[in-house]
Amino acid sequence: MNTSIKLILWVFVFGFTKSFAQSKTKFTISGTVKDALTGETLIGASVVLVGEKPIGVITNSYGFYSIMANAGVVKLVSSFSSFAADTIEINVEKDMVLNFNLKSKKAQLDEVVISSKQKNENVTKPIMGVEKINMAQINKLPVIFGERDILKTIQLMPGIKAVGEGNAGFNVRGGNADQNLILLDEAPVYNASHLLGFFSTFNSDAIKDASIYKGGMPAQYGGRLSSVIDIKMKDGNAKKLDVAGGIGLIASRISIGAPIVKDKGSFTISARRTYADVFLALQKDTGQGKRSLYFYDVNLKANYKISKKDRVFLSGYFGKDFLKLSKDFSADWGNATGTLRWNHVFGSRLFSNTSLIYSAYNYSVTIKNSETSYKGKTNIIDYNFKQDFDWNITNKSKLRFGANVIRHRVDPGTVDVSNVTAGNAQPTQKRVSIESALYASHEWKANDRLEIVYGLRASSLAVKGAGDFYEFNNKGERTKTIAYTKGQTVKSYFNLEPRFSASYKIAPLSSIKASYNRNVQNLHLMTNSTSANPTDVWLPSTNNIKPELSDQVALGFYKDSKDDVYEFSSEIYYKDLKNQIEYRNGAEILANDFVEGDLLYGTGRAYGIELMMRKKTGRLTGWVGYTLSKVEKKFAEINNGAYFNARQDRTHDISIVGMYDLSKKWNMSATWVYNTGSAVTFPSGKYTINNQTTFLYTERNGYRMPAYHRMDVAFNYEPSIFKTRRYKSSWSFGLYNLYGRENAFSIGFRDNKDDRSKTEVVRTSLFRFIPSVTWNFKF
Amino acid sequence: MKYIQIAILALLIFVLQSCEKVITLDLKNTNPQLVIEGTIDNSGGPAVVKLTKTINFTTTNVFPNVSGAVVKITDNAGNMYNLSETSTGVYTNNVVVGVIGKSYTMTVTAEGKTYTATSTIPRQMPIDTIIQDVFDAGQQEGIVKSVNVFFTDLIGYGDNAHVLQKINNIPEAVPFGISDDRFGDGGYVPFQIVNTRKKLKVGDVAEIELRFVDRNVYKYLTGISENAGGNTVPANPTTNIVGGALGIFSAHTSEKQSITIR
Repeated sequence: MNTSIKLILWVFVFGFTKSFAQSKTKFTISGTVKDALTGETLIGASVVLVGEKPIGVITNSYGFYSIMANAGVVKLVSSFSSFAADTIEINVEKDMVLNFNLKSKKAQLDEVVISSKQKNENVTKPIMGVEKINMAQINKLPVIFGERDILKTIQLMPGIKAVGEGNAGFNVRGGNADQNLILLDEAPVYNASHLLGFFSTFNSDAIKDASIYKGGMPAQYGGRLSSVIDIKMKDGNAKKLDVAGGIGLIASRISIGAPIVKDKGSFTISARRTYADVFLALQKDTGQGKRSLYFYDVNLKANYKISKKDRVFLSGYFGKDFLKLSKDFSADWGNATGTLRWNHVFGSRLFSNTSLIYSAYNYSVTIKNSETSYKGKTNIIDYNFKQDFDWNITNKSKLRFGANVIRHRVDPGTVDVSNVTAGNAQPTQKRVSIESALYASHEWKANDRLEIVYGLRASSLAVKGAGDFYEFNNKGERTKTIAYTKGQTVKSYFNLEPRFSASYKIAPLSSIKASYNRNVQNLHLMTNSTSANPTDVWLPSTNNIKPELSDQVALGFYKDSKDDVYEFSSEIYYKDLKNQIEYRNGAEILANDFVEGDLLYGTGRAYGIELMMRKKTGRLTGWVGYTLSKVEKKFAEINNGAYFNARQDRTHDISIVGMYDLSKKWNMSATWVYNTGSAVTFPSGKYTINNQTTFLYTERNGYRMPAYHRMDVAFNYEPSIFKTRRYKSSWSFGLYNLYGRENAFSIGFRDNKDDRSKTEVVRTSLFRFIPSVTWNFKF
Repeated sequence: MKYIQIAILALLIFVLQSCEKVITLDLKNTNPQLVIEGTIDNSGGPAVVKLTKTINFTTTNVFPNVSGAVVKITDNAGNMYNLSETSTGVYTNNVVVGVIGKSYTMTVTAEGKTYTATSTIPRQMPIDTIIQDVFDAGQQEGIVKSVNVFFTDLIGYGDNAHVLQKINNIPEAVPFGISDDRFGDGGYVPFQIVNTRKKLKVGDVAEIELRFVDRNVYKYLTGISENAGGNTVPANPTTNIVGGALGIFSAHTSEKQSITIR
């Protein structure tokens, strides 16, 4: 690792000297690229300086760009897919501000929907393993219950796999589901699903842009091993009032966007709620009180331009799930996030963003019996300060650097008992820790063929008192308790995370890329469950739990067709994982102060190849993705210390996505997915204990679930009956699991109810033929 | 608080129009392995050690007994008791009576190998009462009859209750039949026993046994319960038996009460 740091430092110094040498005789043009109709800033739009050797830059996540030009008359072209390009000629004699307002090519329902794919970006961008999510496609693709969902759509990309049937949880390149950093306007979302994972917490009406990094994370991101999903909310219409919504089988949505002061500030609010009577079965009153189950979420955002150089944003998310099974049992859980941001441009080339972020996840449960009520809760609360700088040194050299400090406070489970006669609940230690990071990342176009992004992230975690910390022996029995006072440092960890990606054009339309990444994870989801539970608790690293580490190397080959209709990409990767966590059999996670004694630590490795062929334009668009991969874990205490397949190890994974415009009003889409069944542990024998049949297991995850495959279709209809441009509506008709495949959700083993001398295998399958209808409107 | 787990499982059943089918799977066969199940309690009953073998998954549930073993139990006061084979594979001793606070070591020599395990009888809390109650088991199962056992927990964490039941003298499973006192130390504990696979009928006689077990036995039983729950990666539970046999040696308290279902 030392040599890789040295190499990075060397390239860093070299890159800078070269950059500075060029930066004398030019002026800087900077500004924002916006949607002319709504004033929404465009992320990832290109601004090209036309000339003998055209040179281009891309807008950052706030729509800001900065480009250098020689004095005199220059021509600049800004473009963004599905928007008409805009050309401006100006006479440059000093540093100047130049804003672009791009007009949408097709003014239709999805007019603010954005596709950020640039022409041939596949080939030229140095970052590997990144997918921009096309929000327009999300609206067209079939999805269960007709609820459009970013986290479901990304599962159709190579290397990204669903945790389970219909689940918003996912595994990236063999990583666990808790190894994905999900950011909503920079705030981490700790439990990104509703209703036990069947819906994601993201209302796609409120989302402007989303990218997923499955490798080659730039140094500004850190904290999780496998992936980053960076989701940006819409700013709101800065020109006029804008109302959109939809009515579906499961939920209804509404969003309102409007200017605060025209062209200076705007706000947006989006809300969604499921119908109380969706799950009719729940409504039956059996004399034990009414049952209910629903969720709602609200997204809010406001922004205001204080001056030409300053803009502030306030965004928030609040969501809640509520479950009541009887008068004696109810539970609710949800996330809350808030982000306050200030953009400032120093001079014309240094863009600064300062963020104050709040992020929390709460779970609470109430259980009653005739005398007593028990109230249990768990939560994690983060306060987060972030400072980021984008410095456009030259048109070929850009430096990002910044710092981040997060205070995590975790309550792994507190139980309040209403009645003294019911006794006392064992107190659990609240855990406080400070996670901090410094980073720098340099993007450098070395020449027409070679582009490099390299950087370093230095991250640390300080585990703080007050509280009791425990030591355990190798059987998991507590051997020592040490009490720390408030603010006392129990343990600190420091890690250097080098990041490097490069692309080299081997021909005008083909390139090869390489990357190396180290990632560190200091928050760990405590769960020994095979499905996502709202009760799962995040714990920071402690004296016992060490930071998880991942080193990933990847190589890729990319080719675009001449007319830019087709693109092909292939990536191979190898990941080495350290300080991975598993659980002892019989581990008790919930509100267990000694849970660390139930943990086991080991290593892992993941490798694979991902192939993708995409058709980008025409009446038929879509892609075919294929992944061949392996992920294994190794723990001294499990499987006799030999490598075993992780549950998410699925050898083959295929997804086919097609969208076809049938007419001006109708389009259809279809998806087909296939994957090898998950690696699971089945019994290889049985015996009897306490007169009950008990199963014998010989090998961890030595069996496979049956292969999973499914086809979904959707038809979308956009009538043009209302000639007024202001009002539009559309219909989506979907069918999930078209051919009714009975995919195994779980396989269980039990004695036959009537003949106990026989043991049977029972397969549970969930969704067959789930139709959906959604009506969307906008005015 | 085990109810949280029940609730989550119940929720899956509620929400999803799930469909269950009995299927056949090609499961591997294994060589028979020794299973030791030893108990000693303070109720005056005999100390019993049963030796059986594992069988293949598809085989009918008749577990072969292991005969001709040498079995003894010693206590931490140095007393030794031999267990004699009273029926095939079942070794008993009527003399030894478990004493609260004492540790017992079981030694089994079978088929040329020796296995040992140690367990301690923890303190006991008497059954206060048992009553008949109902439980809302969800859409499919509806309201089922249950039996509730009440006892008062003693102050101090670390008491582990294990509840077993017999219906009309036939042992039946008690799902989530174990509980420690981490959510109700020193409290009045209502322990509700719900079995949807064997529903109680009017006239049934339910016999409830309340045991208190040591932490190792509790962990072992938690492991079995989680395997049965199907929501975690299953594994053989961690046993207190040294020497490589399956099973458990449990020294515990025991109290039984019966109720006739009305």
